Amino acid sequence: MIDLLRQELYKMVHQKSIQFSPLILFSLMLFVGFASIHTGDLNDYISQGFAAAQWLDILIIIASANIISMEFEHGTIKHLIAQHNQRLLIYLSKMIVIGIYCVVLHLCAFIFAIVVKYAVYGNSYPFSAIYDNHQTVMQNLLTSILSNLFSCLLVVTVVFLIASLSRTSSIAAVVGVLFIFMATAVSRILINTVGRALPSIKWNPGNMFNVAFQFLTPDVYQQSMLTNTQLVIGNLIWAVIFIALGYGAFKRKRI
Amino acid sequence: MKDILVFKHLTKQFGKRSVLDDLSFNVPKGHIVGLVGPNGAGKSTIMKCILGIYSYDQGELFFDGQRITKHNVNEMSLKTGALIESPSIYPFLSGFQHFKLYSASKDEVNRIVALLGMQNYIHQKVTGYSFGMKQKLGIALALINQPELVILDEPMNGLDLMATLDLRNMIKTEAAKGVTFIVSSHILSELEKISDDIILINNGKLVFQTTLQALRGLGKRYYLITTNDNKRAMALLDAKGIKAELQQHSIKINNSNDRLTDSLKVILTNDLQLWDVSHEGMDLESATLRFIKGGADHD
Repeated sequence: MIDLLRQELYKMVHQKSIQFSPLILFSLMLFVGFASIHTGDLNDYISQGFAAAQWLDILIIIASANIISMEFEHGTIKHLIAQHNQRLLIYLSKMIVIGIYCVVLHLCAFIFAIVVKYAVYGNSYPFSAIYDNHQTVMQNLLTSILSNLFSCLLVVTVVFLIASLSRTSSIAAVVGVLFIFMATAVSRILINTVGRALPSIKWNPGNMFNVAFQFLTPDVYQQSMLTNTQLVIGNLIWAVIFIALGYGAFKRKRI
Repeated sequence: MKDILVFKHLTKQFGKRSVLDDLSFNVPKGHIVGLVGPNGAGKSTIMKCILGIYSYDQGELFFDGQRITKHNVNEMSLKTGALIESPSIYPFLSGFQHFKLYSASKDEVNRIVALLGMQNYIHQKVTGYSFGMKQKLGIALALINQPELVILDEPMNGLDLMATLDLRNMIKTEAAKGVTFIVSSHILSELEKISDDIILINNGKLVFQTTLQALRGLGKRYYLITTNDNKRAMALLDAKGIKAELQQHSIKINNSNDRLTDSLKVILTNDLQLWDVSHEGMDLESATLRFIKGGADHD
């Protein structure tokens, strides 16, 4: 397993798309920062890390789709299996490496949010100002980044499943982006239409993506109909289900 | 000679289709074995079973005397290097970085790089490699970490004349050190130059396993005689009870009963001019075609 993790990390750090992802993230956050100057509530932009969550999700979806699909596209999966013989370990090691990438990228997003705030707004809108939920802007920013990091568990497991089912990384990435960005909207429609007749529908996986928003904005509860604790538990359960389904697809994928 | 690999009545199915059907053969240690068969014969499946990519359904598989099952398949796959179908390479890495990825020692990398003449481009990104350069890298990766068994599937693909010659020498050098090779190729003339043994499979079944020497010996059972009047010679031989077959420019005689001397006597004593006597050539290509098409009398 250690050798597999070493190999996966080695491959990851040598990919241009991964090497440049912090730079891409910073550029996008800076763009949002400048674009926000003449809009209303600038504390909202700071506490949401200049839309860092959305950019992070896209970058992580692309990396997750690629880490699975590239082995089949380049035919390297044969060598990988011949060396390690356990597809479960291969699957999990890739997931762990993406997990490390998520943590690093979220840490970057946190630092970039501070840099962009000072670069664009200067000393106005201090981090110590009280904002949402009677917390400081800095606490809001941390909540936003950490809740998005937790939501990545579900994002990564879903994309791994899609990548194991699809032929190429681009298909997996497109389907992954569509799935993740539409999931909460579809879930809302489902809860509104059949929620009364079928209360358990609120446990659908699409609703679980609200975990990224509800910690920062408690009003999201009106939409999710689940408490914070229930969302966390639901995310963990669905992540286990998606890992099992994804591994099943990965194991059966024809080489 | 001890066998490094033994297949005993191995069966592998995909759905209802049998890709390996009661397949048995053995690979002697230190030998170069040519694995031959038409497309879809089951060659890649055999290789993937050895690498643990596929498990088998029935039968037994032994590696160096040890029975291999799905629980201990890494006992075999870790001692096996392989190039199957296409080189296992990542376009975003250089050739040298591939060796680092698979933890090859520096001395070993230098030796293999020199052996395959890859010094000039080993630090370049693989995206800039030609097909032949990628193929060489794939072969090099199969040779790192001192494998006991090396599987090369179509290794001559994309290689130029010199590179093919280098590869041939490299395989022979490594085999002399005790490394066993299973080489599959459609370039049968090339396979014939390096192989000690030939395994021919078709439809997942063993057609034959033989040494190359024995395969060539098959051809020596037939002689081709050319005279100034082949039709008359044919009639004379027939009258003497010597079985022969009239061909376009010669007469083919089965010499399994040592009838060559008798045949020549008949021709010379009847004032026929003898223009040529030769063996019918039996190379790997003609043997393969003959056995795949059926009707061969190999023993």
